Amino acid sequence: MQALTFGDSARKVVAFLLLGAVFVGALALARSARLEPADLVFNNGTEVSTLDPARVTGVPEGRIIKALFEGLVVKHPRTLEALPGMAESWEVSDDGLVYTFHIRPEARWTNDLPVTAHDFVFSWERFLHPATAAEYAYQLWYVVGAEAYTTEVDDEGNPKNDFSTVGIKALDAATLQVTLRNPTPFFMDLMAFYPMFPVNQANIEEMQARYGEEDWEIQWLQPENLVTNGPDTVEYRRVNERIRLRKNADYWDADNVALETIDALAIEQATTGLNMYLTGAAHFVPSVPTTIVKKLMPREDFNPAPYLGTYFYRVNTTKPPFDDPRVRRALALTIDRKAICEKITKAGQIPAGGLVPPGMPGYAGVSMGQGNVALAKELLAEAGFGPEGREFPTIEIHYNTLEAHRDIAEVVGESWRRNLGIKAKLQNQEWKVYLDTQSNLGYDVSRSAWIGDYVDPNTFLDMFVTDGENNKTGWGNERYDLLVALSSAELDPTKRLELLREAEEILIDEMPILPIYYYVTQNLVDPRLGGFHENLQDEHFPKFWYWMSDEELGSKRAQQPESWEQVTSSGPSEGKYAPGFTGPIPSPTGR
Amino acid sequence: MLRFLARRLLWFAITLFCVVTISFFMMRAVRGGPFDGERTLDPAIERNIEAKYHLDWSLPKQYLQYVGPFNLDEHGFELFGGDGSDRFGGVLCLEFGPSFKYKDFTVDQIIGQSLPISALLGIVAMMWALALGISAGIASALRRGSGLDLGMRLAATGGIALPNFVIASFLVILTVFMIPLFPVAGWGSIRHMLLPGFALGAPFAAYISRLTRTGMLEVLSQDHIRTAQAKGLAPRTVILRHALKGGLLPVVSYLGPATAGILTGSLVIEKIFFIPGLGSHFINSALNRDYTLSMGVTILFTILVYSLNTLVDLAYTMLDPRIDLEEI
Amino acid sequence: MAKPTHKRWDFGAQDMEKILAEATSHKGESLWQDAWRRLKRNRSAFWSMVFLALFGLMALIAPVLPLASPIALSLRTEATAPSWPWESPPPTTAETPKGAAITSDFGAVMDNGWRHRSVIGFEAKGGAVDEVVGALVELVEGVTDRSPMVDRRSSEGAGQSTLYYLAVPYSYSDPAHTDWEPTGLTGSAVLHRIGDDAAWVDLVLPEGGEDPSSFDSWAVQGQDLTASLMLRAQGDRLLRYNFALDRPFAGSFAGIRVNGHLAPAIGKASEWGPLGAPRPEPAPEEAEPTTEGVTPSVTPSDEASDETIAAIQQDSFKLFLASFGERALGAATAEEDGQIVREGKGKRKVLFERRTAELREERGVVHDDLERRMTTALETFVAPAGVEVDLLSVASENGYWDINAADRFLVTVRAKVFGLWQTGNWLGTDSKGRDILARIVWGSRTSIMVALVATLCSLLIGVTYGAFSGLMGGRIDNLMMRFVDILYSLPFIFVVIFLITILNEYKLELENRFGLDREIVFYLVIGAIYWLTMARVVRGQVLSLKNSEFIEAARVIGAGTPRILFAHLVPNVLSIVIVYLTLTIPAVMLFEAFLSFLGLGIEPPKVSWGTLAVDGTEAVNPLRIYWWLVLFPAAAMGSTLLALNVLGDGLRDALDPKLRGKD
Repeated sequence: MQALTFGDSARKVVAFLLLGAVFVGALALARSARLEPADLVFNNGTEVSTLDPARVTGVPEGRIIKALFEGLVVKHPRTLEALPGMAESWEVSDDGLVYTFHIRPEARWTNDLPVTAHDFVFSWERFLHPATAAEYAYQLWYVVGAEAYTTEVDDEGNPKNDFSTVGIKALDAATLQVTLRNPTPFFMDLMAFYPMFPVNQANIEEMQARYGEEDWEIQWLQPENLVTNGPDTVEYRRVNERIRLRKNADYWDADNVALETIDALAIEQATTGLNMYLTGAAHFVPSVPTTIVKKLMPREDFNPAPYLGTYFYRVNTTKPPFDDPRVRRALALTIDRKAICEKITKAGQIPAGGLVPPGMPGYAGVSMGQGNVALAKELLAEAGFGPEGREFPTIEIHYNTLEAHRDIAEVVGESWRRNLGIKAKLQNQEWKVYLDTQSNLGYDVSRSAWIGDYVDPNTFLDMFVTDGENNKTGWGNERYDLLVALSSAELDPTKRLELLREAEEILIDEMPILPIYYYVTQNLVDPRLGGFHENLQDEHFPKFWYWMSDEELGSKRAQQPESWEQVTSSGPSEGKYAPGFTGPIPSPTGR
Repeated sequence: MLRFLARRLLWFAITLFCVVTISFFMMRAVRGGPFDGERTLDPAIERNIEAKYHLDWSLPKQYLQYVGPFNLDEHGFELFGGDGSDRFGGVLCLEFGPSFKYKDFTVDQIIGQSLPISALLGIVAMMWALALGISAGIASALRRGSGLDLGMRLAATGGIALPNFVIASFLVILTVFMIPLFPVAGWGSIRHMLLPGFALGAPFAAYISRLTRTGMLEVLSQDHIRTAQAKGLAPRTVILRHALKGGLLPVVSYLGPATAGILTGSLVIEKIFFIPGLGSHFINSALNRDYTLSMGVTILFTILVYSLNTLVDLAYTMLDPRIDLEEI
Repeated sequence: MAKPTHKRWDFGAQDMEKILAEATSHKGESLWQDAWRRLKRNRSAFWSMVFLALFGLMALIAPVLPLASPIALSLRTEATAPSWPWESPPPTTAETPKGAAITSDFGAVMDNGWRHRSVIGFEAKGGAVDEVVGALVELVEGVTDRSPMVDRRSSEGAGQSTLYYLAVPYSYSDPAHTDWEPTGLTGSAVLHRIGDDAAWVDLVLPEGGEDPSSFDSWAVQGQDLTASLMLRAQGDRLLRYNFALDRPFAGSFAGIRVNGHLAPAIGKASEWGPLGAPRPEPAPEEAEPTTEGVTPSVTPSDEASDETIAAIQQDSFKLFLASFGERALGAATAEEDGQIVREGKGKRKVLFERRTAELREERGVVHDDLERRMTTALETFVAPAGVEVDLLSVASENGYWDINAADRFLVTVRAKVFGLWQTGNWLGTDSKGRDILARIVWGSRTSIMVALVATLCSLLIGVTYGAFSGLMGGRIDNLMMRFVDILYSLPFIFVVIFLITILNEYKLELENRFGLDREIVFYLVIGAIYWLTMARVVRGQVLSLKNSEFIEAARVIGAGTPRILFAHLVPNVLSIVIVYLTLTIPAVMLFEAFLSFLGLGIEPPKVSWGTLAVDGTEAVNPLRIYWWLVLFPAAAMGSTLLALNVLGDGLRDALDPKLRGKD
């Protein structure tokens, strides 16, 4: 009996020791490296796919890349105009084809090397090289020879053409010359687009030598190896948690960077982001749960602003009866867009009448008639449906599984049922299957959205050229293709926009898409955070951020209409940092 | 014992092989690929990407490359047409490859970063579950039919029927916003773990209490307990030394699946409390078609399930002398 | 100081006698009889069972209950909080759709959710409200034969007019033919089958009828041994001819030939052209010849020869192609010898046509015809003096998704019993104005179904598999358990997505040949996943039991494996099985919501408890707590599960062989 008890307790002791050891070990492993609280914490929405500028796509990645690297030009935080970045100045030839950039002499990489024109040539060669497999490579295809360089590969997977055939040349260490195929009015916008940002040649070559061809791509992006030229550097990173940015002392404009450390979190759940914001654990969250948008609207820290994106439904124009434009038009006319914007999305989204969202400078835009049920019925009858004609088949509304999409689909289906007596069935699919179905035209009507890459109607309209990869409706119109092609060769901006407008008119007349609404931004931002501006592309630049002092906050509040509900700020109350950026910002236009 | 373990190990290898093979081919048969996105890529670019990740190879070749140990690409053996710079690779060399979605990390790194976090969260959750579950189960078995029993059962039903995200949301409102006791979300200190641990463990606590109650009732009606009672042993001794052993048998057999469930089922809790754990990878890697990461977590899961089940079988023999180890 | 005694274990002579007596008296009972007797005695378990039965019944007869529509949208910016039955529902928004707030004498308890109805809008100028309402109600009653509910609004215009909205319940049984004027005439019909379930019909109208081409439109339908041609004129005239078929027919008509004029099954009569004098016809009583199969094999007794029929078929099929070719989904070709060959998805095309015909039949009064009939009725309507009445709009709304025939019948019963009366938003609404109570009740149907399927699979597959494996032991056990391990380790998301992929590919085939739709497949998937854990649990139990004395004893007396398995082992593990089941069911219900996320579960607008719970995720946040969106679905689930648990415990006790004959 005694022995048994002893054995029992010995076993227990061992068990407890084991458990304890596991616990302590896990605790030790799981602890974050002791991080001081950052000066500013914001939610980046999701884990970034990579820090390599050449291989990124996506808004969250963009926010980080813009903090780490700097391109030839940067954007003004409010107007998005091009400001000098790595390029001190630039010239454009009269025919709009040759751009000459003069690199800032004081610009340095974090490994103390100067930033030169050769870095850009190296970076863009890498960007365009087939082996890099950059998803955004086509954004640089406006350059002479670039498309051929990326797409024409030999059996080994190497480009057939030499890079000297591409119109990117370093005239000397400080001068970069780029030759375009067509005058591209938005080329300077592209230069501020994060995939075009340079990487350090010496850094990459060193990493390739040190880690071998297999591993260097992962290794050079580790915080301790990465060399950058932007306002910040990476200090710490844990997957699905945070990226800690630290101010880069070597940055040419470091005097105007206010915040020492910034944390970018990867919170995916909107409610969690909101909770963290409300407790002061985050100072800026890029999205909020729709259920409380109404509660947030009157607050001073929530200011939805127009955003360069359109929410629309694609129609499968290869499948009867949707091959009839009259049917598509009837469907488009009867969607209750107003109800969707007011009751579902709620943040002031604008009912869409066309594809291109408002706010493009100089572009008038196209709008179809709104909600004309009688006309829709007539069109449908003309197409042979309705009480006197054939029964309209049930429409399947195809969308990817998300509550917001489902809600909108329900309203759209209800609109058609109520107005036209057409039955609609909802069909949800998981994201990747949904994409596959959409590409293979396996749908009737499919939810879609498009966010513009740059502020120009072209980013929306070139999507629907015949057989374009992103067309996905089976629709094609020769005149449309011609107009879009003509516009890219047109030098006169007014004429060019007129051509694009005509193209959009064709699109809206033929209705391969049913526009629903234009996006708005939904940032919830600490009222004390300065240098943060709502803009058309919802782009935000950590470089310009600073904490306002009490006086500045007070004067900002004084300017606001009184109806805005004041909220307490969770940032440093006494204004930890003085407004940093005093540089040459052109006088604010717009909002 | 050793023979038992050796046999288990052999079976483990077979099981793992089957799981890896079936998962690999099923994964590729599923629609959608890792690089599909809202914008469809230019065919040329898509081709480049596929070439980079060897997705343009035939499936069997991709499978051989994945499993290893020989590297079949241009860096593999000279015999296979490579340059010999990196001859070995694949799962057999414990290389799970780079993640397709999180391009800056290898699968090994991702699992290495998130497994300890999940393990810790799982331990906390399991502690909550066992402590609450077993004590509640014993209490309600001993006071069967009383108010206490009813209350425990109500609580347990609540724990099971309320989805854990609901419990978590209310807990956050209560203990963060109304009474500021815990940090709202995040990871780093013990204080960060208690709330998510509880929310994660609550349904399991409810399960365990129900299983304990049933098991205890079962055992209490058995002869050896009656004998022990008749011997005049104190009720406490009877319960703790004699009844508990048999009564916990169902709980023990449940622990294997439960541990696996806690580790993989923590997706929602991880999202709500913003914890960079493993749970989200189980679901998200599949949804992202992140083939390598998904295979990695599948293999990890198989190892976990298998070793836990083996442990459970071992525990059986300790708790119930009637079971013969050689027979399992 | 009394010495503590363990009373429970103290058996006196009296107790023993009692036990013995009981044991004797119940000796003859089978395990199940005994279990039932004991279950009935366990009061809480019994009442749980009653509760569950009631709950199940409620789910079953949900269409009869006077609930608001579970799907009709009435968009609002925020979810509405629950209101007491005696409270007026809070005003929704200024822009409620007109006619949405149809009320009746019940006042507050009537809300706007009863969407299974037609709303007729009138604009009236002048007159006392009561007078106008009375007249309008009478008017609508006269047309629809149902009493409407009224919603009155003052007009926005300056002309002092008032808007009245009258709602009429929409019942599935409203037959389209109630107001067809039967001609009493029977013509002759020749059926030409052109497929399994489609045919052309050659009608010869009897003398004495009117010239059908003078009518506006027509439709032809057939069922069993009769076919009918229905004609509708611009005015109020509706005619119906009956035709006798000599063979039962249940397909759709691709088209008709009336007195030699070819036409599709539905369309405008003017396309026929003047029909001229009907041909001399045999009396309708005479048996009509019917052609069968692809090529007509039976020659009709009248003048029609093989050739004419072949010609008809050629013609008719050309016409068929012409009229339906546009949206024909598969290829169909007419071969030279007059045979009609259908390829590919031809079947689907025909099914579609048949459904069209049925829908038109069903909608008859309420949907298609109401507007026209109201207009006609208004022409002869004598308004009260000084009152001017205009018809504004007629709109029909369907409050349910596609429901099957049994449910349609139940909805009809509901309309007969409750009329337009329905419950208010007693449990609140979601942000789209859908009633939570209705959604919970309708959602219970899916969730209960899911639970049942998972339970059955667990029981049938899991228990048998686990018990067998445990009993056999050794190599077989090892093999079986490793198989479970493999299945257990496969990432089930891929399994599910894989299944979806396959299903989409063979969607039509599955639906047509095996009658498997997405929902049934979804139940099968759930079943396939949920037996694994059960098998493990049962095996564990069996392992510990199989060396017991009673198994040894059974073996000694020569019981076979199946007998040991099912007569001795399974009853002994049932208690754990039942407890485990009651624990699995909620997990399955939530799992269903996750499958819906992957695109396999139920499709909106249908609901389930799982989707309701998930929808409530965003409902709890520090700024505003929409507690009713979370609490009520959870309470429904919780109370059901509590009852299940109690019942499970009762069953456990009742089925425990060790407790046999005891109380």
